[in-house]
Amino acid sequence: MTEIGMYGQQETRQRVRPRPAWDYLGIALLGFGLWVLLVESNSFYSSVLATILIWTIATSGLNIIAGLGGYPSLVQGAFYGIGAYGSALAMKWGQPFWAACIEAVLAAGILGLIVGLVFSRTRGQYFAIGTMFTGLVVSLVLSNWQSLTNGLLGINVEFGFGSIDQLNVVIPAAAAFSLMLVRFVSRRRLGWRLLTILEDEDLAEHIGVPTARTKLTGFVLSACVGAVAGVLIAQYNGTISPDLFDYYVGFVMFVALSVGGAGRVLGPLLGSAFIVGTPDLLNLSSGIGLLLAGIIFVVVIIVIPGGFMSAIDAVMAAASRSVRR
Amino acid sequence: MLIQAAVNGVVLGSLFALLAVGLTLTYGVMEVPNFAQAGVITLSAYAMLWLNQTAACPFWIAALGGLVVGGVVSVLTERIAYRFVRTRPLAAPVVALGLLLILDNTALILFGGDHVSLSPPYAGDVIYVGSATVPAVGVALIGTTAVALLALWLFLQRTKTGRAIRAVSQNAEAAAILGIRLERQYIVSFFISGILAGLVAFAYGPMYAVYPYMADAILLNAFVVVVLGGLGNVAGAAVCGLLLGLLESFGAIYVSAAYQNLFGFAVLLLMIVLRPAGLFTNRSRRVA
Amino acid sequence: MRRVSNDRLTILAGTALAAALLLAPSTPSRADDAKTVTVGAILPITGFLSTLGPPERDAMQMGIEDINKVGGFEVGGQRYTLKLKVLDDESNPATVGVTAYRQLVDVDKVPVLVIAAGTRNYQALFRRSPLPVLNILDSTYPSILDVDKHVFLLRSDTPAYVPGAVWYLKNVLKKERIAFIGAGADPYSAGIETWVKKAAEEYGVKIVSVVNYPLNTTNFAPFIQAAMAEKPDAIYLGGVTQEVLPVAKQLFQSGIRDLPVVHNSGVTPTQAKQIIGDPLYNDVMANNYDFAGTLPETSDNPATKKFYKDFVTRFNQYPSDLTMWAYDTPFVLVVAMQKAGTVTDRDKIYQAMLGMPVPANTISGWIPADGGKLFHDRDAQTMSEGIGWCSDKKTIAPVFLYFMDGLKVTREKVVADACKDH
Repeated sequence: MTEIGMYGQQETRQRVRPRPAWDYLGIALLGFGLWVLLVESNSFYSSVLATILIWTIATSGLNIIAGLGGYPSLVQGAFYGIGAYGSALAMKWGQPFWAACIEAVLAAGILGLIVGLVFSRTRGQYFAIGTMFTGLVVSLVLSNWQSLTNGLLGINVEFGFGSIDQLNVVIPAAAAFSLMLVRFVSRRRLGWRLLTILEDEDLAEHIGVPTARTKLTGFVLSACVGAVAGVLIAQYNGTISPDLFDYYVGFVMFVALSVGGAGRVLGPLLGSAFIVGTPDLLNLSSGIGLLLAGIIFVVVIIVIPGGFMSAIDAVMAAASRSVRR
Repeated sequence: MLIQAAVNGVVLGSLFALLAVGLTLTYGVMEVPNFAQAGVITLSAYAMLWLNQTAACPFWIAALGGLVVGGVVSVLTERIAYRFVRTRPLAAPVVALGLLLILDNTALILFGGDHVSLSPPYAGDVIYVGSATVPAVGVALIGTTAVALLALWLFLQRTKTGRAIRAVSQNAEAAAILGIRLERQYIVSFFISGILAGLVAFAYGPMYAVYPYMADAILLNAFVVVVLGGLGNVAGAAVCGLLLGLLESFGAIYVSAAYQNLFGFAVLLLMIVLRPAGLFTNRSRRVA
Repeated sequence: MRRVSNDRLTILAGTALAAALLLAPSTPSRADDAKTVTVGAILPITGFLSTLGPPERDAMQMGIEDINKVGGFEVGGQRYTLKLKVLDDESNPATVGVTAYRQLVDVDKVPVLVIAAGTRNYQALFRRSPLPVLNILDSTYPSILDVDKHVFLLRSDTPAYVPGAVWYLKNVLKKERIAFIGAGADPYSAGIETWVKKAAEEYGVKIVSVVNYPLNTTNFAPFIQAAMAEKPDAIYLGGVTQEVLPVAKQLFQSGIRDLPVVHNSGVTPTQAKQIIGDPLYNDVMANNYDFAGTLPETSDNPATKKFYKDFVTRFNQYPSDLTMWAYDTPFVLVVAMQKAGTVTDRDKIYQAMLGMPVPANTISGWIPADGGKLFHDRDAQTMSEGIGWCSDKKTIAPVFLYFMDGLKVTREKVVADACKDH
């Protein structure tokens, strides 16, 4: 049976047998494996992996509104930045770590609420442009607000965990949780509703789906998860600077999600691994690394509209067909 | 002060108009937010620089060469990438960003990241308008924009191809039914858009410097104009470009120079929320 | 309805990963070749500081070659040669620099790290993996030496040269109304602004206007106009070369031709020509005065003069002050390691560095601290120099030499007819 997916590609639908326990177990196993990889690798590879995992959290958050809901939000970078700066500043002002995290996530959630309300009636390209410029405005205001954020110098972040080992456990755990979250949401009412909005928003509204409320919830949830990622990158690097906020970041996160597979649980992981890994691991001078990344974005989105995940699907489907034969 | 603000505004407005008109042309034809335009400007500027400095061509020949390069590169972006995502509007931003990375980093790899000056013969001259000053490069920008807009208007109104492009941008299906060959119109619009990018390189390059990311920032301002004027509306883009330039310049002088860009962006956000179709369009294009 | 997960796939992925881990060996750390010591450096090769990184890399390479040419150096009865490994922080220490730091310090295990900018951003990393850190560039105020006790600075910092510029404006150029145009988001510019204000108050000069432009500004017209509205008789620009020169160019293009334009960016004639453009640069630079460290070209030391000639011949570029400190860095390293008696023990090398003497064969012209030591509170100091422009020869020439003692100008020497003897 063929369906039309988000990018107009044709998808093969198989009978879905909901087996939630297996899924969560699989993700948990993955998380454990990633933790082992994180602590066993030397400091350089480890830091690349940690960044990939943190990006996975942020893009998983994005997956909710953009992947499930089909709304191309380019502002995830702003929530990421707010998570980082919010937690760092709160600690600077004397808050204990856990309180700082909650406050940062709350702040991102509130901004998400405002942005969601403001753009409640915009769609498609306009939503993309609007969110991108929101990210731009946020980043402009904050990076020029010297007295608050210290401008280009950035801020040093107080370490909130008991030890580096603790942080090394939290990062892959949080990444695994973010993947589980998308899986969880997709099977709940919120997820179903977002999917109906993706398919045909007007029809959904017509049949009584509370589209405005659904979108808002999805957007705020995306924002909060993005902020969590920001808190972790601040802790991991010990230092943050304004380019965390750059409008560019939100754009790249959206691309990472699209290239990995929007709407798919593992899409964010694959996309982040690709986007963060390519320049760093291939050890290319940044010009060549980014050139390569650009070429791959274009090729992937044209040739495999559903991203890496849909390519994997095709391979697996072919393999299982040949096995069955 | 007033005259100076007005003069600044006309210079800035001309830049925005020139940039926005190139963007809105491709938007109208195939609904593509062409972020890669910044990369086309960059490569065009580097072509001019290379011709002028390394190949020792006279400045005007180098400028012409740069325009041609702009047109060609722009067409290439259409043929190699944009062509495949015409029916997939959500894939377009990904392609656009990918192209921008490719173009900017090609410039970075070929020419390095240093800021280099593009120097027309009038680089040091100044014009005085009452108590206000305008650098000659600013006047050149105004002149370039005026000529370009006039030429574009004549083209769109008076030539067969131009009218075909307008038809496609209004309603592609109807245009196809009427026998207009769509592929050809896409290629032509991208070529013109590329020439316009080359003109931006020619006029804007001498103002600051040439480097791989030179146009990335001003492209954002151009987007504001494109949305304000209505996606695909060339006249709207030209007028709104000028308006935005004046708005930002007056804001810079009378309120705060540091937040100059913020005014424009704030206006865009307002527009998207209140009147996404733009100030001037009355087409019933589906926007929300 | 779309599929949103693939249970088979997730399990597959999980098991595949777990399997891979059990089989994957942990990457061995690369120790140095028994006879080569790696000099690890994180420099801004690209980005807005890109005028600074490449000459530093080139000069350091020259220094290393000069040491290796005579057979290297000896520590604990073993001969060693030096090898340079430079990683680009892309002028972005907080994101790119920290990755480079981990590579050099944890993977390559360099004994000493050389950096140019971003000291503050590495603070957490200093604590996690400490080693002696030589900063060869960052004179930003507040001092980067406060970041961590392992940081050394191989040059004089902002308070050691900025006040001299204001003194020169007042006492030699006879100007008393300064307009300051700064790159506010750049901490270097912010530090210069602080010290220009302090010096102005001390010497009785008025600052009639202060404007700062945000990041990524390319059109300085509104800022220039705001500054000129207060009718200054001199303009002071804050920031590094790539920030300052475009402003100077646009000042000229706005018709401002007869005011002195003062800054602290260490511009070379090559950079001026490239960033401002030929032939405009000769006219724009005519009123420029640049106050920073001493230049190799103007030194009396024959070794320094030789370095100047070699650098120009080899790289076809004019070497500014920072090239000397970069050239001398390997020499400093060698002496520290010899004094410590080890090429790998970071703490011993650190202790040795604290009390080490000024090494022989160095060209920077460091002024020894008490007891002939190189570092005075971890800062190695030189004289400061003010530079003007010679339009006939289209190059720079020294106009003022000085040494700041607090806000007092000492050892001052005003060079008359600087272009004549050049």
